[in-house]
Amino acid sequence: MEYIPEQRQQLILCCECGTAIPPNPANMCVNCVRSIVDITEGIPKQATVHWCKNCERYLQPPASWLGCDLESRELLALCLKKLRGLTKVRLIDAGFVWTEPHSRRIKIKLTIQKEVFTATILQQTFEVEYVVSSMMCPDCTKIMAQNTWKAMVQVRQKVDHQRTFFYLEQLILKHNAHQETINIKEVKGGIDFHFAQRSHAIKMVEFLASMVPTRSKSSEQLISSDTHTSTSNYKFTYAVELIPVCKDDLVSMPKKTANALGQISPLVLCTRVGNAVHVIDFKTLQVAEITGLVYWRQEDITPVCSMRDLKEFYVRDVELLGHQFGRYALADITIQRMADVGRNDNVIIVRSHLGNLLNFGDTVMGYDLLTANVNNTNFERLNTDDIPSVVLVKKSYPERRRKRKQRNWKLKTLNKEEGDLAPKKLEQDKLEADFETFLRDLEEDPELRQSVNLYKDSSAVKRPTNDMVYGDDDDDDEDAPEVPLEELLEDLTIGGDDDEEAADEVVAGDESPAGHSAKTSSSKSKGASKRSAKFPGSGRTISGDTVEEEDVEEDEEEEEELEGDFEGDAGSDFGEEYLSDDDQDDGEDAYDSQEEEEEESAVRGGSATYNLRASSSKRKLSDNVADDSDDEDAGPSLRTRQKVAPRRSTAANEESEEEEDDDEAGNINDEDEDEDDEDNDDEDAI
Amino acid sequence: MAVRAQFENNNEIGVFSKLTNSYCLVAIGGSENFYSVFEGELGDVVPVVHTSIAGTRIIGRLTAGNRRGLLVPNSTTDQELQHLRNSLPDSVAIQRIEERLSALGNVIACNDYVALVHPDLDRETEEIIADVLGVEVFRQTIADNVLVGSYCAISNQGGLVHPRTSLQDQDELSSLLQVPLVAGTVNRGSDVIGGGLVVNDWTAFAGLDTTSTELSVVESIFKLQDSQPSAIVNDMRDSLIDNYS
Repeated sequence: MEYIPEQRQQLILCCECGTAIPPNPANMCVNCVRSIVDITEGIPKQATVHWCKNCERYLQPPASWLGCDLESRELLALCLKKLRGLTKVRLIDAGFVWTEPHSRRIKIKLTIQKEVFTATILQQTFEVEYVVSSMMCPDCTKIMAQNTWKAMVQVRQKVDHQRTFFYLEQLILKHNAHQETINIKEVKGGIDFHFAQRSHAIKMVEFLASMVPTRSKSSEQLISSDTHTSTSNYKFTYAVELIPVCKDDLVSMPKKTANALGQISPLVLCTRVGNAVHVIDFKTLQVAEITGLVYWRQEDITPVCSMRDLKEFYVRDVELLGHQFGRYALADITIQRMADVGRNDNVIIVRSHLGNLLNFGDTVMGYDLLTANVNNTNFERLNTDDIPSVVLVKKSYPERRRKRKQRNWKLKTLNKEEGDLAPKKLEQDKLEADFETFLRDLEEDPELRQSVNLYKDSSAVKRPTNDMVYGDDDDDDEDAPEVPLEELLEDLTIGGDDDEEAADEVVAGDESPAGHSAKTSSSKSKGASKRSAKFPGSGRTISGDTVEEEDVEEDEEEEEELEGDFEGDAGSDFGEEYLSDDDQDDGEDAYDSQEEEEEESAVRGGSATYNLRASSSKRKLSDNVADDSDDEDAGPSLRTRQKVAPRRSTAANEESEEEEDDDEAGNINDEDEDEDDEDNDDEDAI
Repeated sequence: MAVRAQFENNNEIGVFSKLTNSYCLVAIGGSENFYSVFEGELGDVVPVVHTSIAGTRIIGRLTAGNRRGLLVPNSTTDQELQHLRNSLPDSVAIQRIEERLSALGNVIACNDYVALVHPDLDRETEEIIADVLGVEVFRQTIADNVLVGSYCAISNQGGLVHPRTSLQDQDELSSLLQVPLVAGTVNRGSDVIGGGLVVNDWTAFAGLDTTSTELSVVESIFKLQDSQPSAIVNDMRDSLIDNYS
């Protein structure tokens, strides 16, 4: 028989309590090590996280606010950053312990390691409790407290329509000039922009001045002052007045001013409002620019007739005179009032700049000065011989064409807060009409379109098959003004919310007749805008009606330029295709399952890596329990977990610890331990 | 009796002292506190001698010795040697050893009968050890450490070895030394036994950090209690249990 030596565990006595333990670097049992050093010392067991009740975001010190779910990775990271002492130890594991969401408490279970003596690493698990205290974030404060704006820009135009503001809104959106606004408020006769800083307001004023002729006046109001530091707190208000001359307005001016503008006729037509007002003498094709400076000097250049006074005429004959300037050609045009067509032969012969555009049978919009009731001193001073009977302004298109078609593009709008007075029905109709006019202007004027971002309306694009049903009697389709598809930008869609909103708008667009305007859509999505209003700058889209897409031809330069703008546009370069809702869901599912797998593998492997487990704290809890039991089976080791229960008194502690240790060691080496214990006891007694 | 002591705030008293059954060497410190502890325990029985070796205070690590002799390294000055010769009893032989491993206290662990030495020690040194100390010499390691003097402390009654010494090693060493051995620690878990503990047949000195548990282990394994009731009870109990079981 062969002698097989019995493998016995080599044990020594713990130098503190005398328990038999296997030798370890500290030569001390775990309980003693723990009673001497606490590696969680210096790590706060309680902390506070700040949370904004309004936007449900957490404060990430020093100043950023982070939206994160309960038991999410982001929240865990945020919580761990709160623990200052954590840099001195090695973090093994961290996970949430489930707490009632209403309790405003977050509990995190941490496992850390630290070297306590030379080559002795102690691992410990403990919980940290976070109190979620609510603190309103600065963004929300600004929204909630109306008085936090420091500077305001009041933009006004003394005209009876809103078209200029629609255009301005698009300009602002395109140039992202509204980025720093706290609040945008719609008031009677204009818009108010609120800013947190004066410089932002000045920037806005300058932006407006670079876009349209303006006159601005600044005023300040003393809010508070400190005599000790001689600092004072002001509110600044910038009143920006836009030039009241709009596109297609008939403008009259005193002779003297007309002479100063290059001997132009005192009665001119405004063709474009850009940085300056462009006017044309419809009788001679002479053009001039009225800058803001010139205008505000005398303020004697006044619109005689505006868009609202336009009447429709039927073109009977066009006789070109040969003189051309740009796209304009001088012609004598025989027209007939629409009301007279088919009834009598009252024709009017007028000289107009629209010779190139008009043909026999067209309809044209114009100011009927014979019947118009004009109240204007400049106009009255004009020689009556110089006043034409009719001034033709632009070609018009039959109403039925527009009604039938759905627009394949849409515009974004600013998040405006409506003023105190809810617009009355009449005003709202007026507003809708103005908006429709603005949309038509965009369609008819490629030059105007260049300064505006148009977006594809995906809901409208699906529809063109309907047009086939109507039959193809559109012989004069080449005349119909429309926006080429290349000019349109892909709309940016993020998440489901916007989709729903868009869907709402589509429905709205279907129901309402032609005049679907910003007003209706804004009132429709007002509930949603309350939430989104917290972040100024998030655009909302509205859809216009009319126009199908065909006849796609456009110079590529313009397209490229627009594309470039699109790329540069902050936050809208999400690529051409975006996932549909289903796809996104799938993606999320896949991501979820992957995450779970990872987590499971981490649990299985018992990895000691820096492992942030975000979810399912319950399961984690049970895992930990299992771990604990494992540890006990393996006998006393340094890798055990300490409960964070309050410390017992030392005497009781020693006793119980001894008991525990006895139990633990019992199954391994009973005899030795007994001997040693008794040795010690006896000797101690003596 | 086992006594706690500290040399100038240092618990490694085995570095600064050497204790045998016939003499005690103590390093020259700033104060006499350390010396007083030894003098108080041993003064009546054996000479307690202040000395330095090669001008240093780490005399415990540089020298090795027992009842019959004292080995000092080659670096010991003549003056020191003369001082030792004058102070120690005539029965103690003093020998200066020419050895590459000059920290003799670290490489030699001995009682009055057996010496465990570093495996790489010179053969000549080994012979000198055997002659001067009158011991059997064994080349050994303790828990895979070659510095046998540092990691164990032995007397004629018993021995304390490095805590990681396996049971087989303990058995082997025990059979060589013919005394019981136990693995243990001194100075609150320090495994450098030779550094923290000096011991002879009736007394032991340990560092001030040594816990009562460690001290009780030391006292029991070196049989330092005057009357050894525990040993008797243990023996009797074992035999009684053998009888009645």
